[in-house]
Amino acid sequence: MKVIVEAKNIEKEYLMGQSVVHALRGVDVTVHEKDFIVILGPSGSGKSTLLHLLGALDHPSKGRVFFEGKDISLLDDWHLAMIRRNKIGFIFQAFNLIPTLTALENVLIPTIPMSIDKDAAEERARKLLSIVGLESRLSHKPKELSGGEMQRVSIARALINNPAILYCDEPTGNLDSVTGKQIVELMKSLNDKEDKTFVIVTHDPGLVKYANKVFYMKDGMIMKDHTKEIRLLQKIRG
Amino acid sequence: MIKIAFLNLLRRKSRTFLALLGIMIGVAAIIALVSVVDGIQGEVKNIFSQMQGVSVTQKGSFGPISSGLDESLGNEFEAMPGVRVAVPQIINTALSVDDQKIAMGLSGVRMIGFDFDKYLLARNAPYMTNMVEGQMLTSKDEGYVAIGKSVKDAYNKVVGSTIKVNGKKFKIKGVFSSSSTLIDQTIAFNLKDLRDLLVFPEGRVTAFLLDLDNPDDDQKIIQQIKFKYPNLNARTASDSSAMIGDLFENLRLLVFAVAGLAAVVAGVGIMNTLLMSVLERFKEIGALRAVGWTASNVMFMVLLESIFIGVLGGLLGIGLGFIASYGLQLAGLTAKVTLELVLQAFVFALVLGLVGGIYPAYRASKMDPIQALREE
Repeated sequence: MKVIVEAKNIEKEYLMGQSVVHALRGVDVTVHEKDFIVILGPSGSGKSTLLHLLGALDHPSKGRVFFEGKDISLLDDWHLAMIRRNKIGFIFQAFNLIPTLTALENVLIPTIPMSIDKDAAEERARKLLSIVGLESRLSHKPKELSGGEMQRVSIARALINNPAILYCDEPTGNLDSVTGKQIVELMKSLNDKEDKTFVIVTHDPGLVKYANKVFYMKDGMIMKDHTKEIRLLQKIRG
Repeated sequence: MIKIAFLNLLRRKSRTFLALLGIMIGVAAIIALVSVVDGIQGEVKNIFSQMQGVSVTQKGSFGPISSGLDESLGNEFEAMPGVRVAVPQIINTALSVDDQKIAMGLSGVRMIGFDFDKYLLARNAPYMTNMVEGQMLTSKDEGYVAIGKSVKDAYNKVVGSTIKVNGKKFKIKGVFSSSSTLIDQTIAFNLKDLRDLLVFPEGRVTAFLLDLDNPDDDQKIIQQIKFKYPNLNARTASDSSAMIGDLFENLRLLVFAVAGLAAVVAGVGIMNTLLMSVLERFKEIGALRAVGWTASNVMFMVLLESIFIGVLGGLLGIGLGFIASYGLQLAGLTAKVTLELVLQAFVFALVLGLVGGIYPAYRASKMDPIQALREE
């Protein structure tokens, strides 16, 4: 199976006031095509930082990140933006839709700086909105949509550039459990039917059953054996 | 991109409106004030262009009002070859009309006294000869005046009624009109009447207007007068016009600078508006960066927003400026809104918008995409 992104022994340190925070302390991750990876772990365990590094949003302090075989650890801001634009889709906890634009226009946002055929892009956006079940909500603004619908719009937005990989940071964090389940199942069906690759950071152990790989992070590292932790989480959350 | 930028401005309508208002007022102030300067300048040029021939005044005086010459010089001028008639004149501004005080300056009421025997001999005497009512004065009409149309309208006068100038009553013989409102704001007297009214010394005048046999000889005559009378100043109308033109150019610049300062303050307003709006949208801008917008894409979006404010504020300000300029005209000032002025004001607004947007755009472009992914 083709490797999409690979992190080799990455570390990340940053300053918080006077003290140095070691957010990642030597992490190795390999994401293959069609993976559905769930990363669990308590707050401050470094899982979001890992997502930023895999998602070409930030540079590691040490170690290397390879995207489709290319070392992106030291790329400048502009080249990282190009990788995100052409290869990556992001799904955020807070949706981050632009309130003044319709669902259709929001899906098209990543294409605005691209030099592509606008009609074809719009056609694709309509198709994606129909895949996520919003074909009747194209011209609704975010405030006229429910939380689940907003997250569907942002999934369609993440798919508009036909990315090699989708990164999701707490995609169900702002949703009730029923809606959250629908969103995860939508992502899973995109994984099954459209062969989309997902890396999902979450607190919710309910996502584990959809994953083909599960990482559990603690203190900036991935734990080798996490069966105990996950069982415990599943017990707590029911 | 254009649509996003435009819609961003509509999010906080009142805040955007305030930034717009600043630009609008600045631009409107430029238009209104500079239009008055341009208008008065046009008037003055108009008068000078209507006064052909050579004007002689005392050396060192700025204009005919502050000058003083012997009336007997007229005979000497007329003895010069090429000079047909030397028209003695006294020019001043009225202090009061019908017991109402008059503001000094170019918008006030001017008084001019001629030796009408001479004046009517001059070939180039278009000044005040276009009578709309009654007749022009002759040298026999002591105690009579002819008034400009603006004076007639301002004080509700008809031929045959009386008008009180600087406290003294005169009978109106005629009403004249010209294409210049400054000339229309003039009261014409017989030389002797005006001299008595102003208690101007006997045998003295403020200026001579020389009518020449051949108008093209004007430079030659000027040279002769300057040579023969070192204490006199002689000019053609066009010379005076150029001199006054320079003066007005400086005045225009000054007014532009003062009104421009107001507009620069408005530019700071744009900066403030956009900076706040950008800082509020840090999450959204971070998301744009995360989905593949480059720093320059973000910068361009914010600059578009500031250009919108500049363009819109400029256009509205020009509209408001037209209204204000019209209002000033109704209030009796001469104002002229030229295409040049409108374009200058518009470019000014555009540049202000752009400059006001640079810093907020820079700040936006430096925003960290990671912020967008942070939890609430």
